[in-house]
Amino acid sequence: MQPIDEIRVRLDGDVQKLESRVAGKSAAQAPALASGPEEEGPTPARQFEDLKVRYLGKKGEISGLLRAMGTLPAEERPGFGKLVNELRDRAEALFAALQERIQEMEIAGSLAGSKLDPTLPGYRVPLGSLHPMSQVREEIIAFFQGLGFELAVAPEVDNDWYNFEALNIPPDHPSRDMHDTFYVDDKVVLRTHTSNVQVHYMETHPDQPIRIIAPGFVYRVDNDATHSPMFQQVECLVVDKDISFANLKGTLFLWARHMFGAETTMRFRPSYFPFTEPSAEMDVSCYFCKGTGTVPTGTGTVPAGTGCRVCKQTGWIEIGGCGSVDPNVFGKVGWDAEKYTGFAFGFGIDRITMLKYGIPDISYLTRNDNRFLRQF
Amino acid sequence: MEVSLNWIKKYVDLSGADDPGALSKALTSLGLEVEGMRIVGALPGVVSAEVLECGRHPEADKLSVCSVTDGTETYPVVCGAPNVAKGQKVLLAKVGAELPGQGPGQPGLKIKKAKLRGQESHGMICAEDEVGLGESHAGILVLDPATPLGLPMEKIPGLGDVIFEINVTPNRPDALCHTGVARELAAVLGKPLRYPAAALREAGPDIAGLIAVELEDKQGCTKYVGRAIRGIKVGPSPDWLVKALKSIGKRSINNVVDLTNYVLFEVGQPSHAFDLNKIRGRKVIVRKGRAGERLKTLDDAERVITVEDMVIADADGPMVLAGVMGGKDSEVDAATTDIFLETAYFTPSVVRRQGRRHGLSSDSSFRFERGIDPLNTAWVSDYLAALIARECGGEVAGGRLEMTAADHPTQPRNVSLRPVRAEKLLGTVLGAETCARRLESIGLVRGAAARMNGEDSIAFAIPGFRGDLEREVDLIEEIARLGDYNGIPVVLPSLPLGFKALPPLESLARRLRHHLRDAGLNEALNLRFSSRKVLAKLGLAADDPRSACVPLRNPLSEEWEILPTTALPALLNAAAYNQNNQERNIRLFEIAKSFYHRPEFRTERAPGVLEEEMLYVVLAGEWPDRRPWGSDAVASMPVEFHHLKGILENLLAAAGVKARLAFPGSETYLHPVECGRILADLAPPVPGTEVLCGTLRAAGRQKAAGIGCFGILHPRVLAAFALKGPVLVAELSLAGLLAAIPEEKKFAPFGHFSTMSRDLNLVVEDYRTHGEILAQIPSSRIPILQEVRLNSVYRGPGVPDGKKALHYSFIYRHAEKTLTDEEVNKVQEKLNQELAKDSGIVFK
Ligand SMILES: [Zn+2]
Repeated sequence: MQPIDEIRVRLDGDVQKLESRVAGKSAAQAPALASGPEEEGPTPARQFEDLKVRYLGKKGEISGLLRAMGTLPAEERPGFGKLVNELRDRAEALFAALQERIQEMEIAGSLAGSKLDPTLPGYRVPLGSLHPMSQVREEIIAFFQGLGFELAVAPEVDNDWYNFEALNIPPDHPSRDMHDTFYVDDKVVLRTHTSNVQVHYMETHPDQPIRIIAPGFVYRVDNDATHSPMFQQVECLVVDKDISFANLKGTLFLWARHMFGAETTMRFRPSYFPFTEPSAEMDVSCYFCKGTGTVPTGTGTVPAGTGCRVCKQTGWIEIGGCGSVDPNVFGKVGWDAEKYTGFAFGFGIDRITMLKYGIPDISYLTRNDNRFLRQF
Repeated sequence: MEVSLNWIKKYVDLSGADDPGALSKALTSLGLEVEGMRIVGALPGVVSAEVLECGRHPEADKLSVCSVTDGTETYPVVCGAPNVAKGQKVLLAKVGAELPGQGPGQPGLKIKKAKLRGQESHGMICAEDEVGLGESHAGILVLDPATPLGLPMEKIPGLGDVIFEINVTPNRPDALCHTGVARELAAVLGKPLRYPAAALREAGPDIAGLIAVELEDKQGCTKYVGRAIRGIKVGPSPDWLVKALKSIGKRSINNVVDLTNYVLFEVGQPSHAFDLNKIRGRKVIVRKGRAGERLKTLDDAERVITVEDMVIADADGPMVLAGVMGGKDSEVDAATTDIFLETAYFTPSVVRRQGRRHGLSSDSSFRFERGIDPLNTAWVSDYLAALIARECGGEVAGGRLEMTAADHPTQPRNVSLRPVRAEKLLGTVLGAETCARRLESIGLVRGAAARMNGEDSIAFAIPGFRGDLEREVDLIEEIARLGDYNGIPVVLPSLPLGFKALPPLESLARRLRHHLRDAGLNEALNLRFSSRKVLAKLGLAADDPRSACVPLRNPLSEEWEILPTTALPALLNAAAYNQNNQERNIRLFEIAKSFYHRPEFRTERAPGVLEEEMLYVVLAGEWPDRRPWGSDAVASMPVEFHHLKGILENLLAAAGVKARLAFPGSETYLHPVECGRILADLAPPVPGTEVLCGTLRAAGRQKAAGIGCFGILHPRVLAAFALKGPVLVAELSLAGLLAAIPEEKKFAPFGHFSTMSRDLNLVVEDYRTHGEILAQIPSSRIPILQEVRLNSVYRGPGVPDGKKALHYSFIYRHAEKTLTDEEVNKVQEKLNQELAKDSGIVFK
């Protein structure tokens, strides 16, 4: 029995020594486990293999014990054999556990040895930018497309008929003063609003329900901090047999809450557009000061309690004009105004873009300064 | 239009409802948008006070030394006015008060403690002009003895006022006067309107004996009323009149002219006073102008009258440009004793046209062209005559001369309303009674009930001042307006579900935009105005279709005189702008419209202008191009031809069309060699859209039609735009892309067998191109050849001067089996023989 005990004690001692050698390596020293210089003698992996061969190899000590079993008396052999087998099981278990630890240390060591500097910039072509107006335009289109609207277009250089006459704006009518018009000649103008789409569309889609959205550029003889001679509007037209002013309000309300936030309220003021009757101007509550006219706390950039600059302290933001389709417009395009009613509204995409991004001067939108464009 | 609150109060009782803010809101919600509000007579530190003592200044005859109290404190004040006296209630500007400057641009006066000739003065007793209340500097302003002490100036009855700046929409000429605005307020406040009145007493001979009127132009003038007043005294206007006009920014001229203006701003009817004795031939003729006639108008301009004009003439010639402006020769002046008073209804479009013709707009023409009350002409004539007689003396001659065209309305118009229709259109429940009451509140008169299109209706008589109410829908708008739009419910329409895909052009434009954004480009947006001068910088040939720009008749400036056929110059200018701002890296693109002036397409309704969407790309500076960190890393390299080419190749793939690049191009603004064309096979055009493909689509061409071009900007153009080069440019027609045959995506079986490759190094003359070599490879005859990959182009040691080495890999794969080395070698050998036929190719 003595050699068995002796071997077990030695085995336990050797395994423990190697184990503590592996465990003693800090993460920083760990690479040495796998590939480090051998000034400390064999690597733990090498040492492990040596030990395993020494004890479990074909010519190892435990095999030696079994070979030596033949020298024992027959009656001792079963007991001795059992003990040797137990020792081998023990050794195998110890080495399996140790091997796992050594492998883990080796993997950890190779990973920790990385020289990667993850803070270096990534390889890329930096993303470009979409013009802020394009983004707002797409957002508006997407909203109305979701409601089943069709996108419609019309020329930007158009006949007087489409821009004015069919919209109930006869020649020599003072309402033409509301449009500072660019003329190509007596009969051809740069459209002053996207409302010309209404006429084009109704002429080409006679006597049927209409649900269209028409974004596009329009032109006015005007140029200052809030007016550009070319700007972008979006027009909506809904025509059916039972469309009311209340429906106009419902549709605009849904849109305003989508665009300016769920707390948005709105206000309608009577106004005048020759192609709608009744006509209204629509205001929405200021999204920045929540309609109070005073900057609330927690906005970060502007001191709380000062006057709101977004809405000029009125609490309201003017959005655009709207109204029920004037029967004269139906008449001009040959529709039956007793049968159909409808509503139309239009607003400036430039203005909404400026509000959304806090752009102070409309000329930024067309100056194409890299430092501006890259922000969006 | 400016409206004075004091003035409004003459016609409607606003007691308890005169808070300016609330009135401003009320007007706005009635559709009379208040765009500005000015509180007049508010000068901090100027208060009502009493002169307790007043004695002669010991050192100066013209100065008085006063003791003045505001009720709480007493101040010593030295005053230079002759009319100051003990016991007066006056306006005291206390120390610290700031008085307005006298006249525009003049500095204001800040009141300080002072010593005047040795006497302490702690304030100033103010004259009218010093506090901006009037022109008078004759003496200090003496207040009503009942004025309480210490009141701030704007609270002193009769001194303060509120001026509303109202944006009156063109459909509401009735609101262009004070009674009109008062009527609206009276309606919402439920108060009566007190319309002005004046007692007219006629005396002396009948007007018919003094002057005659001939109404020749019955189209331009449908109603003409004349009155004569004799023996008047023209002079300065009374104080109340000056004040009233001044409050709305009108200058006082003389009592007669001021009264006509006053009535204009009071009831909205313009009138004109002639010096009766300057009317030659004692005859007033309303007629068309005659060729060669001239008129010196009140603004001192010499006007050439045309035959289209309407004038008020006497026997010798025009006296007035009708409805627009009076003439110098018949003007009322200090010597005038007898006047002829014109009150007329001129046809709106006639007045508007002649105002525009002469570049003139006046308070009168502004109202005539919007339409004044056609039923009130005679009343205003009487009223104004009575006022003039009252304020200027004189007597009103008996009767009036009244000419009325046959088609001039003499009765209020009737318009029927179906309350049910109002409810349907507005989407709210109102009831017939509510509808009727709202309409009555602004002066409509309810008439008989009837049936209209099977629904109950009520007739309403429309007062003359509401010429805009012509149809049922106009009444419905009034009902909505007077009931507040915000009371109408918010209801989504019930419409059938539906989905409409984006139109092809929109969806293509969006795809291109997003692709280029992802590829690192910045989307630009330029104003679409340009000039021929800027366009000329591209150096286009004289017969280039792009010379057909759309000229504007009234451009904002010379730089913006056309809508251009190409937006490229604008984008190049944007690039130059950025370069000047030290922004060297230009990566701009824009989808912009081109406009072609093509009169041959002009019809009754078509404008003869073609519009085409184009994509432009401009690149300059560096392109981000990173070699691995740790090697000889660079962050970017100068952008070059092949960057742009690569962008376009990907773009065309993203657009999903079968398009190809061909070399070189032939665009005048590009480098003659370093440029290319974008070609596509086009689907047959949809009838009617052929012309929309602009210049890039060769007329009628369908195979290999040019839909775009790209390359290095020509040095001449570079210099013309003051750009630092090289600059790369591309343009592409969206219509061309849409017409191009789409790249159809269909699954192709690819087999699961591995590829084999063979490398080849070729040495060729430097000028030979990769494209030429590729063209010599009979790819179509070698089905297993999957790809010919160019790995490098090398010039340098090992390669003779003037030559270059091209390193190719040939990739082979069979769809159904694994290729053997022998098979591949055989194919490659044949291919090499093919290439070897070209004596310029040397295998290395
Ligand atoms: Zn706000």
